[in-house]
Amino acid sequence: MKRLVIVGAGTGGLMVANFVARDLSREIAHGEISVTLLGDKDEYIYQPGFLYVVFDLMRPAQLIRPIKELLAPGIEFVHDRAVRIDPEGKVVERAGGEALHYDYLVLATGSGLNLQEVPGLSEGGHWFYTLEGALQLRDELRRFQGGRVVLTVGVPHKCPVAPLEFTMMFDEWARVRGIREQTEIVYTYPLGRTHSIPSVAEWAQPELEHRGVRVETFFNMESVEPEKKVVHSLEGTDVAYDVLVAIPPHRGDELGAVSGLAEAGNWYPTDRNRLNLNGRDDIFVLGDATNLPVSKAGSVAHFEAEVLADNLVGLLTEGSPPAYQYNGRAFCFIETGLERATFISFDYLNPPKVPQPTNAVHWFKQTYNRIHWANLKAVM
Amino acid sequence: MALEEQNLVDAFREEGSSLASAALASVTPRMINRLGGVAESTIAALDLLTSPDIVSLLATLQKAAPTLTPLLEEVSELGPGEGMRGLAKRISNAVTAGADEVRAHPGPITVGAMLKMLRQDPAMAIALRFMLGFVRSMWVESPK
Repeated sequence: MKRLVIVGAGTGGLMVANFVARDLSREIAHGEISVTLLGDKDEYIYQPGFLYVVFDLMRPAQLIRPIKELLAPGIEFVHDRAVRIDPEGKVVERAGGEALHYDYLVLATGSGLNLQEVPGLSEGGHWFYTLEGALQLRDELRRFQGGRVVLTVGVPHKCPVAPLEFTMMFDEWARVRGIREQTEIVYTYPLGRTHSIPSVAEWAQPELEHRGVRVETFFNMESVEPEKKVVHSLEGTDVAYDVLVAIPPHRGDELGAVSGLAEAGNWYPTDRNRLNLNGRDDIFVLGDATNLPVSKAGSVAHFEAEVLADNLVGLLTEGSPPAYQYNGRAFCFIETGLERATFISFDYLNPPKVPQPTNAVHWFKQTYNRIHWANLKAVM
Repeated sequence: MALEEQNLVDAFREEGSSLASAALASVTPRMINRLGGVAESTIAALDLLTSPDIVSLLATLQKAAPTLTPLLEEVSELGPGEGMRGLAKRISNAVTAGADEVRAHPGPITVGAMLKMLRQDPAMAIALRFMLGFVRSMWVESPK
């Protein structure tokens, strides 16, 4: 029997498991192939929904589903934490049970917040990159009656357009509530422009100016003083705030470092086209966990999952070398307020262009928020 | 065309165009494959529904209607507002009760004994009569 083990039950891990299990349902039923998904949580959380929770546009219950409800038949789900990978022995050791042996391994361990990197941020800042953080920021905004709101960005971070989305949504939210005149919005960014992608920065600059948002570039968040309500940058500038909304820096899961497979930041060195761990033909990586120069976003995990699943099906059934290649494809919606949105689509070779925001694209995003589950289950 | 109408048309065109662009940019090969699969299943289903066998079956059902109608009326009298869901629940309860009976009296079970157990429930009795009547109308009473 050929054994596929997938570590991580987020977007990438679930999609790969479901794509492979649906393609190879007969082989799984006949005991020729096994698909095991190892995840340390038994619930899946739709993270793009956090932004909507902040503005009371979605409820937490709409973002959470038990992982077992999202699995195609034939997948064995193991609710446990992987603690070490032995690539030579082809084994994943886990915290609470027997090790899992594999023929092929997929690492979809995602990324998490690295709050320790910015002293004072935990105590003085808000963020919307966890459900708990989003709820706290929502409660802060419910009390908010005006003042200076500062958005600051740590790197690297997932969902690269989220800082712009929050800023534009907050601007309209404050206008709707009639408190925009009492509110100053300060958007800071680590580079010399408003976004890491030049064409997005070119589009965003006048959009922010038009909304009366103050922009501070070359601002790399270094530390926060919660008592004084000031955020300091590596460049030596300080910005006082009433509410600090931070995009905390991220890092990869500890598993890669413990196993000696990851590099700085706990990111796995990954082949940009085949998605295998560099130097290994039996270990693959996708989603946030890679070190690839692509956005850490759900759509990237989705596009990578399709390529990876096609290659795994070939490997598991015929032992054929990977034929499908990932081209760096990414797709991101950009909410430009509470009722309009645009999107960017790009890959390794083609940078994005930003179309005019429309209501239709906003509705598309709202629809997607509610049918994402069908995507995860590989039925759409 | 008046200026307001033209503006409305332009706005719709812009919205539709942006939606189509976003949809095209986000679609994946597997989505296309699944769409193809759905299309194939739909065509196969339509092909089956229009096949001579199904057309003949529908004709037979139409002819059997006078026999089926009173049985359907019996089913509909199961209880006000009960509907098919209520019927399904009562059948499920009857099957569960039958299973309990089997557990209570271990030994070989014949189809006749099982039917007898199921007929103890009034809803099941009606449902069984309906099913038997349906089979009879299809295979015995329908014109050959």
